[in-house]
Amino acid sequence: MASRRAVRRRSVVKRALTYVAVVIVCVIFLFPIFWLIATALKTRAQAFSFPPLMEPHLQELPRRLH
Amino acid sequence: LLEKYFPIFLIIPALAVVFFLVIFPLVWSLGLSFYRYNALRGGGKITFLGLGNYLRLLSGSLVWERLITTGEFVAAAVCIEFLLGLALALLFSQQFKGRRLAITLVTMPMLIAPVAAGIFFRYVFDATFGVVTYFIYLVTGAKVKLLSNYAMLSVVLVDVWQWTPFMMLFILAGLESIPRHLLESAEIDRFSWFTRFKVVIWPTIRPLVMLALLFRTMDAFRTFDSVFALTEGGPGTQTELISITLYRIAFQYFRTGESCALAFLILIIVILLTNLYLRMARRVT
Repeated sequence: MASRRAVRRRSVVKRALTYVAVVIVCVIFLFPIFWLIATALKTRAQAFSFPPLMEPHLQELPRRLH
Repeated sequence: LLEKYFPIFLIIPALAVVFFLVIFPLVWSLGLSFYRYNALRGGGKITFLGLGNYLRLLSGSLVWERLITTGEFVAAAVCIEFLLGLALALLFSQQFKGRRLAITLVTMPMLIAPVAAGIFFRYVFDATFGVVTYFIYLVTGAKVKLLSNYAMLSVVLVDVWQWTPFMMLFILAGLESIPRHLLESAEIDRFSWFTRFKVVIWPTIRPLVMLALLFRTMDAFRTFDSVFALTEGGPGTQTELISITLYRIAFQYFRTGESCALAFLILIIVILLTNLYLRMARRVT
């Protein structure tokens, strides 16, 4: 019985590790695409600021869309 | 009589398209490669050189240096893409919730046009306000000039980012075609993970891996747009691939005949590579 529980625990750990790995991979591959969209929504000054802004200030967006 | 020749009339349009768009330019550029010809000067003096263009290219050091650069780029990119793609495919061959969604998300870089990716990564890798530079600064505390000091690395990184999903999809297709009973019997025999990979998984996915490697090698060898948009072959000539040299000879120096000769040299190299891969793939099966 104990060994069966150990097997089950191992499978839970394995599943958790799989999820963590998948999330990390997705974040790495999608970050440039996220950055592409985020940059598209920034003003020129925001796009070239340092340190880079992680999120655009969207209150200026309606003005830019005109 | 009409009935006999009617099928021929039907295939004439398709044949004409193939002839004028594929065969004619190919033969014409092969012909041009034997002449000294400048497309900018039009009908100036066109002299027949025979194999002169080829000899000049092969005896100079320029082409060989560019071929070494290209070789470094292809080897680095394809190796990293293969290893990463294999790891990702093994990861995604597991069953978990949201697997389809995750595969779709990871393959998204393939959908971006290479030129756009090049221009965009130029901004991302920028030495003063690029995000990647900023992350490296956060981790190491040093401001790295990626595009000038690590140009080849950044060029390879963009290629890897864009084309690893391609490799992954191929290997994933191979992994999914493994007969279930083989995996089950491997499990019953209590094979270690490595033995299972060597005996069951690798022989099944091998042909697909070879095909994917072939595609990627040919594609990486011809890479032009992403690298040209990213570094324009610079700094200096550090990332000037053979395709960029070809572009320069043809459209900046306008030595049209010589560029045709170089194009055919590249074609020959790619055909040789293809045959090598096909032979390697056939040897086992």
